[in-house]
Order: sequence, then C-alpha cells, then structure tokens
Amino acid sequence: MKCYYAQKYINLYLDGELKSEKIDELMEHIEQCEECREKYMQMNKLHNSLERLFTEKELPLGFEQQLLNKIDKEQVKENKIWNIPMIRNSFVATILIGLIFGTFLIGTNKVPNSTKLKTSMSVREIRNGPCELVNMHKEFNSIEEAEKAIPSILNIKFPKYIPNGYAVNKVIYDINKGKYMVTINYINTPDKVLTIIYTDPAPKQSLDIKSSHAKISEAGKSDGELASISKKSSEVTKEVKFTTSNYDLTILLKYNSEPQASEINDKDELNKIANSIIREKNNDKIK
Amino acid sequence: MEQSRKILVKARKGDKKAFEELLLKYDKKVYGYIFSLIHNQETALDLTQDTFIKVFEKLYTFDLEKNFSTWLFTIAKNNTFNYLKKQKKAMEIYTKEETSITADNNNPSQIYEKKEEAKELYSIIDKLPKKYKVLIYLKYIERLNYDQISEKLNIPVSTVESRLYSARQRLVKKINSYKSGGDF
Repeated sequence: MKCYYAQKYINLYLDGELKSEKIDELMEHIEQCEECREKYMQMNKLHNSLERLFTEKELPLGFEQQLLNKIDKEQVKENKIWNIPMIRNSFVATILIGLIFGTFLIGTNKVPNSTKLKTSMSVREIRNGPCELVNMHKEFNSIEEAEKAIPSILNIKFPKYIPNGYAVNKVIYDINKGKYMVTINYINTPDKVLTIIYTDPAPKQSLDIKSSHAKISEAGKSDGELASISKKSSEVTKEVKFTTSNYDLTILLKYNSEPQASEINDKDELNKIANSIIREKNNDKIK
Repeated sequence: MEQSRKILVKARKGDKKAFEELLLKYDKKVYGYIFSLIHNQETALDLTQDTFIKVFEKLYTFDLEKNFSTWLFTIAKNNTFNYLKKQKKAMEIYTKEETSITADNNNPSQIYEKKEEAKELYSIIDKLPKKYKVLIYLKYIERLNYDQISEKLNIPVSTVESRLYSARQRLVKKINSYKSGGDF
C-alpha cells in the first residue's frame, strides 16, 4: 500500500467508513511504515480528543423539566413587564395588510351602504401569552363581547377604528401552544379582502415578507406615503412597507387577477388604515 | 422538509414542544462539552441551563440556512468562556472545588491539564475555516456518517471525505504549533 492511500484510509478508518478488507491492509502498512504510524498516532489522538470534547454527559434527573419551568417563569415575567403601557407601546409592531380585490371592483371608491356589506377584512394580533397549557378557540359577534370574555390578564388591545364601509362580522379568539391570536373579521363586499396583521412583540422573522420601505417622518402625525408597489406576475401581488420610528407596517395587496383601475385609491385606503393603527397605538402610549 | 429542520422551524416560531425536542437532542452534548471545559458539575449544569435559556431567547434570530449545532455550541462556548474570564483566579478555585465536588479521580493538575487541552482544542476548532468547522460539528456532535453529511450539506461524499481529512490535517498542524508533542 502506498503512503498516500494509507493516510487517506486512516481518515476513513477513524470515521468508521473504511471497508473491513482494507482495515487489515492499512494496519499492516502502519506496522511497517514509521511515517504513517506517526500519522496514525496523531490522527487517533486528535480523534479521541474530539470524541472526548463532544461526549454526551448524563444530566441529573429532571434537568429538562426544571429548565422548561424556568423558561416559562421568565416568559411570564416578560409578559408582566410587557403589560406596563409605556413599555408595551414602545414595541415595534409589524402590520401586514392583504387586500384581495375582484377586478370589477378595482378602483371603486364609493362607500358601500349597509345593504352592500359584502367585503371582508381581518385584523389579527398575535402575542406570546402566559397561558402555556390551555388551547382554546372562541368566536364572538362583536369586539365588545370578545373583550368581556377574554381574560383581562392578556391585556389585548383591539384596534378600535373600523374603516369606512366595513362592519364587524365576527371576532375569533385562539390560544394555541402558548400563543394567542385575535382575528377580527370585517365585511364589506365579497370580492375585496383586506387583512391586517400586527404582531407585538414582533417576531418579524415569521412574517416572510420582502418589500420596499417608506419612511414616515413622525409616527402618527404624517399620513405617510406607501412605498413603491411591486407585482409578482403569478399572484399579482403588491407589497408595501411603512417604517416609522415606532412601528414597522407591512401592507400586502393581493389581486385575484390583473388590476385594471387606478392604484391611487388603493394607496389612499391603505394609507388611512395604516395611519389609523399608528395613531391608535400612539394614543395608547400617551394614556 | 427534513425532520430536524421542521423542528427548528417550529421552535424558531416559539413552539415549546419543538424547543423541548431540541433540548432533549442536544442538552447532554452541551453539558458534556461544558463539563470538559469546566470540570465542575454544578457550574457546568448552571452554564448548560443558561445556554439553553439564551438559545430559547435568541432562536428567532437563527438563520435556518446555517448549521444549528455550530450556532448552539458557539453560544455554549461564549457563555462558558465569558464565565471563565470573569473568574480571575478561576483555575485555582476550580481545582479546589473539583477535589471536593466532582467524583473525578484525577488529581488537580491532571484536571487542569484536561481543561486547558479542551479549551485549546476548542479554540483551534473555532478558528477553522467555516467549511471545515461544519464538518467537525456534524461528525462529532451530530454523529453523522459520510452519507448523511453529504445529504445535509448537499455535497458529494468524496468532498465530505476530503474536507474532513483536510480539517484534521489543519487541526493537527495547529495543535503541534501550540505545543510540540502535546497530548491531544
């Protein structure tokens, strides 16, 4: 066996990847060749040291449970701090607004009357809650009804504004695996869907949205401007993002077909909704 | 999606059950590693706990394209090395503690040498180029074979083999330059 192969085989042997018939060959060579023997000794020492360094060590019974309990306690503590209004309102809120329009309604700027209440809009708030072990799903007919039923410890603030032409359809309240979510469903017309999601504290990574940014000079005061709207050919998706000193506001518009009417009306509508949320959050902060 | 990746994705979103799975998969490895640097059971347990609390808090920042064990052990290392730095006379204190607390039958000087070796070895691994470091982690922490590493990194088995070979060559060279004929 040539030394070149022997050194290659040493590596494979240490990793348990050398075929058994080659092991004998390798050992025979190592016995005869001082250089390869030295190499083998060095590699073997290194291998053993690495094995030792990363060897599992048995943990005392109950270690994991103790650790998970500690994490739970830390989370509850964080949530208590979070519930102090001044601190709570200094969060970065991420807002996702998705609009799905039917082509025939694109550009419609009229406020529908009550007989035309068909479009839906959802507002969601997702936050880590202290209720780790309870899974719950409840539906309510109004925000007031939901507020009365939801435990005050969770301190959920619903967005109070209702965009023109929309009406509350239902409020859905979920607790699942330590997270709670409030979904408010608004109805306007059947083909136009607007979804607003804001998350605090913001696990922004979970919102996989890539979009351009627009600065609003002062949160809540400026009407701001939506950033450039980009389209994805397949979904005809428009993405817009606001960035303010306090909030990240991401707005996603989805069309089920190529929009034909003016985009200005959509921008105006989204702009108003976005700024309403910002103003509302700022009012909370002032209170 | 690969099962371990699914768990990571869930845990990253705050799923406690998924985090528990990660904990059960890695906690003994992390504890073993920290113990090899500290040689004190109580301190190693505390540092293991701190490490996983940090992991839980920072998991949302973890880049799913990266190797999790590399990220995890970097946190464990930083945690442990920071602890050691804070202890001005750490070595002497640990040596005294070890004789009373641990069931290690080695004498204090042997323990000291072991700890120093482990620290040095880890520092050397840490300085390896990324492509080699990942291989060492997947081999010795994740305990994967060549086929599994090849699949995970999407590289040919022959590349796994050659990179592990190069990684070891580099490690031996560095160790030799640290101390001639040291007992690594």
